[in-house]
Amino acid sequence: MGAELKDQLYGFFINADKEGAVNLLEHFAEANGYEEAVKEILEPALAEFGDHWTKVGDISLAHGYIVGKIAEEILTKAADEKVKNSSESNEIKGKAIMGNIEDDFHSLGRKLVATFLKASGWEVHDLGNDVPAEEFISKALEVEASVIGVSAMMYTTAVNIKKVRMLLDERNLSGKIKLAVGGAIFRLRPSLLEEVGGDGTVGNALQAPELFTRLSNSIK
Amino acid sequence: MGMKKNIRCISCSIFRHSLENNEFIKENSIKVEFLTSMLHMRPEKLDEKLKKRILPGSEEELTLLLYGDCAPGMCDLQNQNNVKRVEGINCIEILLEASLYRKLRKEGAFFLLPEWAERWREVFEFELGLDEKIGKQFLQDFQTKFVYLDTGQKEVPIGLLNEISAYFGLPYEVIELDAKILTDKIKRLLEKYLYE
Repeated sequence: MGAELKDQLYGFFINADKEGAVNLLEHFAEANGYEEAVKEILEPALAEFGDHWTKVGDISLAHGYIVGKIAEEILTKAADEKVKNSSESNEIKGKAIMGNIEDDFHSLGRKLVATFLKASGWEVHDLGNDVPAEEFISKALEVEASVIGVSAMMYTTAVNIKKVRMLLDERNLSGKIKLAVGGAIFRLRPSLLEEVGGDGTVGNALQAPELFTRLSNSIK
Repeated sequence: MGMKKNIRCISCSIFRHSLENNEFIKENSIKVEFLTSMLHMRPEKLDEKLKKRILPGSEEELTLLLYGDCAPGMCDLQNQNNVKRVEGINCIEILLEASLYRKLRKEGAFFLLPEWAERWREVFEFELGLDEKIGKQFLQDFQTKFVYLDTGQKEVPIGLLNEISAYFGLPYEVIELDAKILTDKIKRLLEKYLYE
């Protein structure tokens, strides 16, 4: 039954049908709880969607955003349910700073990454658009974040990420805080990761939690 | 003073209205070739088209690119000796004062130029796959208003703007563009190549 519902949910994802997807998940959760809905249906459907996004490449960012909103809505309910039913607080996987680099105002990808990170148990501090390098560093130090995630859509703005790398190196923070970078231009110009001094990047937002966890775990 | 180089301009069609009656372009016999603005949605294809049109290393000819940083290889193209790209991250920043662009972006503006206003259904529904319901939610999550940039070459399409505004549930405002901004940017870029 789980596999059948997963397929139905995946169909809603592909058709960007938010209402259909949320109804299906809520209906299942009424009988089985949100945790089960996440484990049995949402996570497998998201994995399949992520796979399609990576391999077929016909998913627009806007489409990805809709699926992100579905996941966010259900995962928030699952987290609330867990808190209600347990005396323990939810475990935080790590702390991350997010933002679009100075001069960059393309927030969609960043918001999507933040959604999936939160859904995976990360505490995300989103600084918004047009964020100067210094602000990324000071916020990371303030909240003791292990990863700074910087987004840029175009080459012209992406090169500003070098300033974040430079500040991390200058202050001997490179071993303590990792720099994840992303945005359309990194997919289109793979050499840019090295050029700006990023520690890692991924092809789509669904892969971000795995990257952030890997980078965080690489800190000695 | 005579012309030093032949100058051709490859431009995004989004600038058509701003260029067609531009005196500086006419006076200097700059031939303008337009590529459809829909290529903005397919940056790799735009890259390909531009590379095909720009011949490497011509001594006699200079290519002026009227584009923002809209293709992944734009920086490589503009670094060629015989190519110059007008200053600006994107078409809006090219047409506006940088400070006004920044202010409006911070306010959450979604910009519309005449061509994209006319083709808004094609852009949102076909290219972005946003129907009214999803589009409303999507835009309202990111933007606070539409800003229509009036090039002065066409009547402001009030009816169309009302339609777009109602569809997405966002207000709109109209800003008159100062044509001198674009002309001055082109002049600054070409000055040393135009005259001996």
